[in-house]
Amino acid sequence: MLKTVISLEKISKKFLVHHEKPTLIESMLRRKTKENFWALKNINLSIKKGELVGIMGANGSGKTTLLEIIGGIAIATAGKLMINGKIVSIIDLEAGFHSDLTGEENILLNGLLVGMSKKEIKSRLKKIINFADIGNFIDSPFYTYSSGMKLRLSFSIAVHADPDILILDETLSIGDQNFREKAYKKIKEFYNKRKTVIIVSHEMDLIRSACERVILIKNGRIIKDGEVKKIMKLIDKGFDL
Amino acid sequence: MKIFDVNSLELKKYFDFFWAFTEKEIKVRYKRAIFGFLWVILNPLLQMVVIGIIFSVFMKVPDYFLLLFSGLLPWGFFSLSLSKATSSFVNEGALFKKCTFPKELVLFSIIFSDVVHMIVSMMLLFLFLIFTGKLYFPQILLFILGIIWLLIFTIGFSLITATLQVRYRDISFFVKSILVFWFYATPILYDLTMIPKSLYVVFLLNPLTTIFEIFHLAVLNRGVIVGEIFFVNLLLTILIFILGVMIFRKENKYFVDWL
Repeated sequence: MLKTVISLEKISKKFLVHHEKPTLIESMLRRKTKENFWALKNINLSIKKGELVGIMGANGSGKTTLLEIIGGIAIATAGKLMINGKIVSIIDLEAGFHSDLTGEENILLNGLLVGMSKKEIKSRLKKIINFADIGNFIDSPFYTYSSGMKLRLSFSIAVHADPDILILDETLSIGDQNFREKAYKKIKEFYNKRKTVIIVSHEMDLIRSACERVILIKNGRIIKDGEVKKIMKLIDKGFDL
Repeated sequence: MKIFDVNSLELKKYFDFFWAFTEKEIKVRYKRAIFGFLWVILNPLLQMVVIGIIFSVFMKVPDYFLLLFSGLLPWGFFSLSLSKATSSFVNEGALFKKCTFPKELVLFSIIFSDVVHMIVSMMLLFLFLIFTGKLYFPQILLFILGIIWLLIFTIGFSLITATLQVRYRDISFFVKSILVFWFYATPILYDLTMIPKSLYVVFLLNPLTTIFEIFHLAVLNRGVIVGEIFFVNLLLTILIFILGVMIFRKENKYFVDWL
């Protein structure tokens, strides 16, 4: 029996809908009409050590919110979350970077955020730069980067932080063929080391080839959860996502 | 009781973060400025010269420039720190979206980098005091006391404004306008000896009063610490600090929802 590394019990997440930037003046003048939006409703989920899980669903179905809660970035409105092990996520490509700092300076900042010590970062710096493979841009400020470069740097730091759980949100599709292959190889390597990987994607081919378990989400609820072959068959038959 | 969520094992990491953020702050600020650190000294110097020339017409006080300088530098720190710290949680939202870490460090590092700048720009003041033979050891202790008090007040107050800013994006505008009044309500262009006692009640509510009088006392050996003002100021500082910590602790979990 493999250890459960992620467990969600009755997790729900509520957002207040605001249409403009909220201000103090407005909240004092206007009568409060609170619009709630439940991004996640009563999610029960457990993921074991070494699983490669794909999450699929339409835009706005709650995939990213789910990842943010698992990654400890957002906090659930209700429910119980348990995480075992070091977790690193790539949900937002700009997250954890500062636009005025160079790539190399950002590696230090981002590396600390994903849980490496200064010493570890220094000793892995070369490897991180080589894997990212963005050439001279490593000395340029982050705001000059293309999104592909941001992905390369962010992915490289994440995998070199040696997490137990890796979370990837749709980001891999930005990379070019060359980098994607490199990334898949790394994911497979993680899988062989019995690390847990969660990937959100709209690409069937990616999910089909990389994952062994698929979770389908719709309107904030898990509607299907099972082996990749079974779920893919359902989708091929025209199951509405 | 722990004020912020730190345990001793994580303390080293906490400081690693703190230094990295502070370094980042200082680096980012001068990244695109050729003169770099020179601005730190030049800015308050220019300000002092302009205000000094204008006000020395009205104010017939000995060493007026020195009085100005001893107040303008800490004021520069306070106003800059407060306005930057207020929007710090919003501006650094990208960091919060990566993982959980002690969010207060973002604010601390901004304030601390400003402390470093204040100390650098004060070198000029101290050089002047040394050359004119006006520097005595106990004064430096007094000065340090003033800086520590100012630091605690700045942290407490900006924890409140920065936390509110995440929910209400107009707080930073309020802070900017308050600072305009605050400048004149604080003994910077004057000291308490020039103020009639009937007006002292105004200064009860401004914790900066005693702090700046401490600076005057340290630099000029002039200025008054009034008992009642001192105690009310101290009490207010403590209350604001506690309030800041409480409101931050309650709200910081939900920051990402609003960013």
